[in-house]
Amino acid sequence: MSKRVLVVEDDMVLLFFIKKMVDGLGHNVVATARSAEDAIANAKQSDPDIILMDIRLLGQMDGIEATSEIHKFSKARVIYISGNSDPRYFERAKQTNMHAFLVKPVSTEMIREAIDRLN
Amino acid sequence: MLSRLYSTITRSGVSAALDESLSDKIITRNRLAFFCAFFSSLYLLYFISNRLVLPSVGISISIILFVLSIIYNRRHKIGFSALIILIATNYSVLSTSLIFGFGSGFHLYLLTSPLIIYVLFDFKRSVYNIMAIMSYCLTFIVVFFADKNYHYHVYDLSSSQSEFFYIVNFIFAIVILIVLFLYFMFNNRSVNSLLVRKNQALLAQQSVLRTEIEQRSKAEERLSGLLKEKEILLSEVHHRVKNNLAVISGLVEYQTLTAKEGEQMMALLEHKNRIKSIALLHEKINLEAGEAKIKMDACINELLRYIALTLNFKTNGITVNTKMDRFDLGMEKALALSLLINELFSGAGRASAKKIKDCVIDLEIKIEGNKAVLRYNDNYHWLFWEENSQNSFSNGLVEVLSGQLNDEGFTIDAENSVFKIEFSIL
Repeated sequence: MSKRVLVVEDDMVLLFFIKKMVDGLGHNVVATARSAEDAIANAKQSDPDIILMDIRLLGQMDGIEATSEIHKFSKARVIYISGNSDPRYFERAKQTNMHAFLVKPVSTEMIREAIDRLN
Repeated sequence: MLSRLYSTITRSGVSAALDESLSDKIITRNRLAFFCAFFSSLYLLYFISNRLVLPSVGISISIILFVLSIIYNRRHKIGFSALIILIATNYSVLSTSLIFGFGSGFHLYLLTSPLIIYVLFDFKRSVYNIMAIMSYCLTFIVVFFADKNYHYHVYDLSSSQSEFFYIVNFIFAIVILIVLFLYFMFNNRSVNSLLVRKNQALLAQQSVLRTEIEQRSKAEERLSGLLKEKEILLSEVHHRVKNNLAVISGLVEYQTLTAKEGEQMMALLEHKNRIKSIALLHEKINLEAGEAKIKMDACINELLRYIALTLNFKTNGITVNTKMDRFDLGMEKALALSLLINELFSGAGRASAKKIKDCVIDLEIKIEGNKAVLRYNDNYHWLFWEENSQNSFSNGLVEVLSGQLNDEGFTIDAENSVFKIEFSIL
């Protein structure tokens, strides 16, 4: 079943590739964002089922803080995609009721597996 | 001339190498011995002029003892010198009192004994002080009872002679008492001024130390700032490397969306896995340990999970059994090992592409001392199964990467499809 996906990634090229992978899996990318502030605003506006969230973002807030804010008004499931699996980040991410934590570089299969586990 | 002689005698035993307080102690004792010898000499002159042989001998022994104490001070044996002065003062009072009787007033010199003890011994050494006081008390008791109870004395002095001695001894005793008292007053002032000087020197040192501490703390702050900057820079560079690898991987991934199934697709997937092999090392590297080391067991397990996902091991019925000891490697060897394992497992993808079913792969890495032994085994003989295997891209990579791990390369058991390599983990 097609899901509504919000992709949050600071790197424009990676954002493009992740969007393509999600599209390729047959899901609908309803919005994208490169900063935490945009992610919160877009999550409010587009009400996604799934958020693919990078941890390092443009601006002061990071992806984990953005997720905490989003969870105040949204029930979207969060899959972190990060270049850093440092235990400190991982522990913080775990506290935001995350669904999965993927380490870059991600493949279509990794995203597919993580989304499939939601069902 | 006399003042130089006095100075030479009183400063006998004092040198620049000595501690200031010890020098003061020696000078004080020399002065005491000198004055005692001087007063004794006046008596000696009087006894000689009156042809009193026994008192002359007795007082001469006292003078010798006082001079002896100065000699010992010169040799820095100040404890022994103090003991000699104690004996000499007791002996002088005892001998003269026993010769001339209690009425002669020689015992009046015992009035000076507290100040003499103060000169000779430290207040902290209470045992010495008590023993010295007791010695003077004993002398007084002996002198008193010898004359009063046993009427013992060598010379019977007439009442006028007795009165003369009593007055002279009384005056001399008082003079010595005053001199010693004044000396202590002066000495206390000089000790105070010495303390003030030392205090000032300490304050100056304290100020120098405070400045030094401030400078050090500023330097430390600067260094810690620089270190933090470098850490941030390193972390940023590291993040950039990982992001760039993710971009390259994304590029390959994107190309797979338009690639045809078959060899072209397989080549792209293998490249993606190679990029992941490198990216994982950057992910797992421990930069905090000072020396960049990578936990290889965790890294390889994650790589195998990724390869299994990319090459659809589950769907294609490929089973992987791993057995690995824990070990760390530096970046260079870790890179070679990670890529080597990727190449070995890529064969499984090619096997599945050729519709070979029920593949089983065993990977074992055992640590034996400073050496790791890698053993790869599969049941589809990929190393020799491929056509022109010697010239294949993957086999060429296996050779190069093995050579990087161990100059002697690897061994192959063709019959059982076993690949084996040993390499140092140092």
